[in-house]
Amino acid sequence: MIRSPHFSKFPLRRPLFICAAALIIAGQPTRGQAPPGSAQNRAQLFGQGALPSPTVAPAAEVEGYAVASPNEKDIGEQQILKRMEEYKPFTISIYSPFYWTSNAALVSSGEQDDVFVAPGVTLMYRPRITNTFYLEVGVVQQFFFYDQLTELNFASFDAIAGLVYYLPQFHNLSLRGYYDYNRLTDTDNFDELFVNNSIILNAELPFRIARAQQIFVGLNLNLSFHGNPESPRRNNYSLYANYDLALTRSFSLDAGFQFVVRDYYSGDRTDVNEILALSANYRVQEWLTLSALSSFSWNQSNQSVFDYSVANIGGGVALTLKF
Amino acid sequence: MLVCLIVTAICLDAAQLKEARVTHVVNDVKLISAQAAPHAATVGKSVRDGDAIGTGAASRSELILSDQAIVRLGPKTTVSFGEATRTMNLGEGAMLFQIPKSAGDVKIKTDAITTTSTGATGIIERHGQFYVKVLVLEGTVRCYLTNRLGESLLLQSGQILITKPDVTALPEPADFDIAREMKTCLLVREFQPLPSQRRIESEEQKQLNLIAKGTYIPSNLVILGRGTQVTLVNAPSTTPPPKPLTNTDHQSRTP
Repeated sequence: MIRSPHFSKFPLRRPLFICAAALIIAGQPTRGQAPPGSAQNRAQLFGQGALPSPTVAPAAEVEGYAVASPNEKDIGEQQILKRMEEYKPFTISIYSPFYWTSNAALVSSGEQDDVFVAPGVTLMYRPRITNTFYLEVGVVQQFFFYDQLTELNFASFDAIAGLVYYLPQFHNLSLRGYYDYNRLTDTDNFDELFVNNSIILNAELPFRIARAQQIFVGLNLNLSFHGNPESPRRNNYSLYANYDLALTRSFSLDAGFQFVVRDYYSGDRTDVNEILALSANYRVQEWLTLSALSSFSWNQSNQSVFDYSVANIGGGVALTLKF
Repeated sequence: MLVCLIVTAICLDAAQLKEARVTHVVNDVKLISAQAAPHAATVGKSVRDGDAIGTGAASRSELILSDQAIVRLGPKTTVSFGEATRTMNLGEGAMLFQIPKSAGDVKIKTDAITTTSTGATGIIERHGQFYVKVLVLEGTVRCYLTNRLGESLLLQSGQILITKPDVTALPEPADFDIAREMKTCLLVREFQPLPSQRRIESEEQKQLNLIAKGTYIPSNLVILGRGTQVTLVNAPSTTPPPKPLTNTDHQSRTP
């Protein structure tokens, strides 16, 4: 097992890096800004940010109801045009959320607040195999820079490859399966802090309340099969629900709640984590979104030293291009 | 004295704002108001809040609202007016509307569905409890369900929405050929050119460009007039540019 020299300088800090990364990314908005593919954190993304939303919209149809027509020609003839949507498999997102956090190190006592910024870039390739079946390959690089506690700075890299399958016949259920390679490093020399290989399985069910209101519920399993070092390795089992409300064409509100059980491979440690995330998003242009972000998390562990609570409040900007 | 004059002027102005005016009548058009028995509508007649106007078979009418919005009614159509004639309730039939950008928000209600716009030209049709159809020729129209928060849809030019009047969820709109619609619509051809004519022609041109690019493919599905019955026609083809509009010998719009 290769151990990073840099990591050895922070033997107690390392698990906190992992937790901080997970929580910070969890606090990001559920659309647009969350880096799709972020390894340990996908489970906490409420299924919206990293996991692409369904792209299979119901086809526009004109159906004749079986009713008698008044047989008037006054309104003219309506010849139907079929719109051929051009599918764009590539998505590039550049984003930069920033937060004030009440507990930068995610500790149970002696909390210190701080401000941090988390710029990142995501490149996804999502070729369509059939109308309901997609391949997905992508990379994510994100940095976390703290204002005061600079020793907490770190970077996260993810590479993912997986399949997405939509089942319109089952209430638009979506099923996803990914391999995720995640590497956390410091930001100075990119020395490795932790590397993880995992399989992520996700099932998500949307419920449309109205055209502008939707609820998503989902189950996410993040199963680590190899990590280095061993102690932060864990499996995440999460249930989540997300509510989206589009108040206007450009302005939307999101609220999400997630319940996660984190089962660590070493130290007989098990955490139960609850995350509430709220965001308001304003789409300035098709490719530009501004957001107000907040997240609140409570962590309870069978080892009380890992108990913590944290609030993150901030904002962000995201640029997304499809081609 | 001065105050009285100002108040009187304001009251008169407000009263004027609440009126629509009949500008075109073909055959049997009746005005129905609470104050009087139904009587024939004539050009220049005022239509106020609470009034309704109805057309008989083979009849048509046009009204101009105080903010210069234009409403044209097809045969067998009933529309009532409210909220300073800025809200219309389509009980039955078909109407063309042209709402200038300066007109503010004008609403057309049909059962559970409300159509509103701050600048658009379109057609709305209702047949009893069977269907509602909304076509947008230019501009943007918002359709929403009055009693269902968030069930709202923006219709862009060239889009058609067909649904039931008592629907609980709006369906996806389809696209239609604006040029063919304009060429065959009697509510356009048998009246004076619409003030939004140039904008509509611009939208027609955009559609032609998109057809040339392959974004739109003309289908062989056509609804021939009112109703929802889709007819299969032989060969889909793009519509040639519309011919110049012709006026009829009917009573014309008063200035």
